[in-house]
Amino acid sequence: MTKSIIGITAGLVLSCMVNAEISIRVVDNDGKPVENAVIELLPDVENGAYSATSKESSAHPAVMDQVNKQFLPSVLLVEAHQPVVFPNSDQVRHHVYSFSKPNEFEIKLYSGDQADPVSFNHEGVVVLGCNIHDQMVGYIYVHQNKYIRQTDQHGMAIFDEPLSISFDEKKISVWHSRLSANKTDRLFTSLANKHESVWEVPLTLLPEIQQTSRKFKLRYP
Amino acid sequence: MTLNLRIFKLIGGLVTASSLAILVTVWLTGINQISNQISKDLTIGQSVVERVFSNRSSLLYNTADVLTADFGFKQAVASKDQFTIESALLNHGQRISADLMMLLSLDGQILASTIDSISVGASFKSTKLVEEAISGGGLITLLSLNGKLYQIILLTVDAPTTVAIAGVGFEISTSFVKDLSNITKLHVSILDADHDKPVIPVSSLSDELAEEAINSKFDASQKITPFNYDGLKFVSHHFSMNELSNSWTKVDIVLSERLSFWFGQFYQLLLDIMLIGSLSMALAILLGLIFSRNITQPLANLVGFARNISSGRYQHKEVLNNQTKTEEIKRLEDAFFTMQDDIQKRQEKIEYQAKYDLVTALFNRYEITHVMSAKLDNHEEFQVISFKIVGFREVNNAFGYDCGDACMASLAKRIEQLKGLGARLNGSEILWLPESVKEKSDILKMRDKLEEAHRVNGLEINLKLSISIIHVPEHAGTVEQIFRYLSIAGQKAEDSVDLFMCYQAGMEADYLKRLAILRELELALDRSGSDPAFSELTMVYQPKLNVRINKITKVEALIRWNSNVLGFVPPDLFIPIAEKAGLINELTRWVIKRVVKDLVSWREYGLQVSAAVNLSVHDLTDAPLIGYISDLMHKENIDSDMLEFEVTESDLMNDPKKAIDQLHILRNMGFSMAIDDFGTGYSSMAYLKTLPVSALKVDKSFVLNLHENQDDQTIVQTMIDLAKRFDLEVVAEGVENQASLTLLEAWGCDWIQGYYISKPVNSQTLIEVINHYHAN
Repeated sequence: MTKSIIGITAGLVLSCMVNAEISIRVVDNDGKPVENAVIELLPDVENGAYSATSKESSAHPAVMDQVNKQFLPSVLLVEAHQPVVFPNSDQVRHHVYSFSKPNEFEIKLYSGDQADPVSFNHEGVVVLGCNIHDQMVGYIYVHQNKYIRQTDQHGMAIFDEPLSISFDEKKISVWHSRLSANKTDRLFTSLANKHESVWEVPLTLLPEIQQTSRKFKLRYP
Repeated sequence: MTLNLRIFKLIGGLVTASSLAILVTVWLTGINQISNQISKDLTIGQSVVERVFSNRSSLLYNTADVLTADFGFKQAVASKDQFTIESALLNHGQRISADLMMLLSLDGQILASTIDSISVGASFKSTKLVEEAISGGGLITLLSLNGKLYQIILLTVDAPTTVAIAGVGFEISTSFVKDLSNITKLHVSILDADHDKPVIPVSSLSDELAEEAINSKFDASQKITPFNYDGLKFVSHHFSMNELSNSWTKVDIVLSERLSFWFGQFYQLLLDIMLIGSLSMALAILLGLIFSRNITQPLANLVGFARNISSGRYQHKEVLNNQTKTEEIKRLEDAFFTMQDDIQKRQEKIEYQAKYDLVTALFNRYEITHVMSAKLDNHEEFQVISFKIVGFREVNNAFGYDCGDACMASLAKRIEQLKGLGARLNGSEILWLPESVKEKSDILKMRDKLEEAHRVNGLEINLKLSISIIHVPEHAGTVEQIFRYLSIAGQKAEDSVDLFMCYQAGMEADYLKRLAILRELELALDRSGSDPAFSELTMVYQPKLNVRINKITKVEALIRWNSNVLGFVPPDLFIPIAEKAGLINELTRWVIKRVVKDLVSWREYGLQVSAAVNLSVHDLTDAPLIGYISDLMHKENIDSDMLEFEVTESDLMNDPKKAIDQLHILRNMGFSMAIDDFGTGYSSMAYLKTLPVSALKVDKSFVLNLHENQDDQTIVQTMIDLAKRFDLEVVAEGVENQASLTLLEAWGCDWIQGYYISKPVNSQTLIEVINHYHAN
């Protein structure tokens, strides 16, 4: 509780300083907006308290739907311990799994709403796959941070509520599926230069890989 | 050049030329073919090699795909279950006998490996390669690892995002290259394309040969020509694997064809062609020899055949028939045989003609010469009898030569029947050599038979034959003598009464004397023309006494020849010779000229006497003589009654018609004519009547002994009576005594000529004789 109060105070200060709103735009090396990047604001103090998420929100189950043999959404933010349901909207069955330690799980062949909700107790990126459909890749970002946003199609993430934490160092973490080969690494950085009213965060992304059942095909079968 | 050689050259040349042409063509096209074939082989080889590589890639891919798609494997990788991972790698690797199976972490660390040289925990060769594999989802490449070359696939293990990279690889080993070599039937070398990197020489060839093959200056795109292949061992084709062009390790593949393989075969082919060419040339020459022999041998035979013909050795057709021949040769041979036959026939004909007379089929002169010569050589005794048709020319003239020939043939046939040998000499003379010596009487009997009328061309012709005979070797020792003596005897026979003469010794001398007489007479005539004073020939005149008036008013001109060489030659010796030799006309002209001159000189002297000149029968056929006489008379102004002519009775009988015509002309010109030697011939009374003569001269043989021979008296008296009845004057020759003169005078004889009056005297003496007589 103390920590949260401090965080709120700091957020106030910050908000006072920066009009109580932080807009971040994530771009790639070419300056193009990057969608589905996840940005966390990190408090100044190392090991400082995060602004924990509300119990209420975590009580609500998050939904990772499967539509047209794709996870929907492709990136889902959930709080730790928050139950996630995996409804199957397709006619075919899916076999959803993840080897992302320590949140690995497996829902063997199912359809519809047969699957039980899954709770992820550890922060981190859970890479979802379907054993039947290789092209299905989804990400569940498990966190315990109140200040977390996912960039929209314009690469924008807007923190519009007052910060309750000290954010002078403007440290943030950024994740994107194309940021590292293992898909889970985050980039820890600071907001450095502001362009107009928006902080711009450039990302060096791995080349976009078309998700297919087999990425590498032999040119001559 | 002989035909043999020509055929030989032709065939040899053709075969050589065609063999050379084939050789050159095969050489050029062969090399071209080889070049094309090698190029094709190398291109195919490239395709095959590429296909082998792609098949291996497929194999690698399939294996890697199965491996990386396996959920359990993914789980093992995700959970880093090392044992499970390694066993899975080993298991899948064994399925395709992969040489290399490994698992790499995303940052290039080797997580698992089936070969010791690639140890777990170490970094993989290149992180860039790993990154490329991750970004591409995988890759296939040729890669050299620890000194060995691999064809390798790297494939991401997606769970579902890439968590690791699986690697599966085949080693490009020497045995693999040898397999390639076996499949492509080419030599395969694989080498590092980048020279700055260590060379990976993998080849189906030994190192030394591989180096040569790799460095061969020829590749498939270059054409091998006849002029640049020599000394080459390999044609090589370099290419890099297009499908693996982004290979981490650049590799060149070299396919090589050993030229000795091709050219070994090619040279064997050329050798075979040369061998076949040589054999066919030998065969062609052999066949050519046989062929030309087949042509030239018959030709040579024909040449020999022709030579035999030309030397007169005729052969049978079978001589040449024992060979196989072409149609042309056969025709040529037939022509030769025809020619031979013709020549043979002609020769036989010629030989026949050479031996036989064509008209009579008797031997000819040439052949009988041989026969008699042979008899002479054998010392045989034989008789040669010549039958000569008297007046054969007249037969020819009267009935034609066909008829004359037919007569000869008919006569010859009869002579042949007499047995012995017959031969026609020439014209109308046939020799007969009887088997045994014949007596004259036998021969005359034979002549009678031979002379019997010959039926010829519907005519009956009577022939008169004169016969001359010679006995050999009694009278002649050589054939030449036989002919000459027979000829002499023949002439004598013709002149004789019974037309028969047997040669006797001395006849030749007589003959020669006649020849001498003829020769000297000719000379005498020539000389007497130039200078009459020294003439050997002189004229003498015998007076004729006109009995009634007892005056000499006529003389008979007689020629005398006192030869410087021969001495005195009596006229009855040389006149017949002159007649036979055709000299009589000239002699007669000389006589007439001489007589006319004497007539002129007598006239000048005041002596009126006419002279009678003897004409030969040849003079009577000498038409120009009349012109000569008439010119001479005019020139000397002599009247025609001053010159008279006497013709012997026998002469008139020989060619009466012509003689009488001539006599009529002379008579019409005013000349008087007398028949000389009357009584010796056989003139008929009727005939006598037609003669334009004015006098008969009784032959002196009747007169000489008239005074004592009663028969002569009767004859002469009858003759005188006869002449009177025909109104002819009568002249008696040879009166030598008064008794005869008295008798003749009594019987009415008109003229007396004889020694009782005067012997013949020259022209000067004549004047004295006449004057003297008249004076008495």
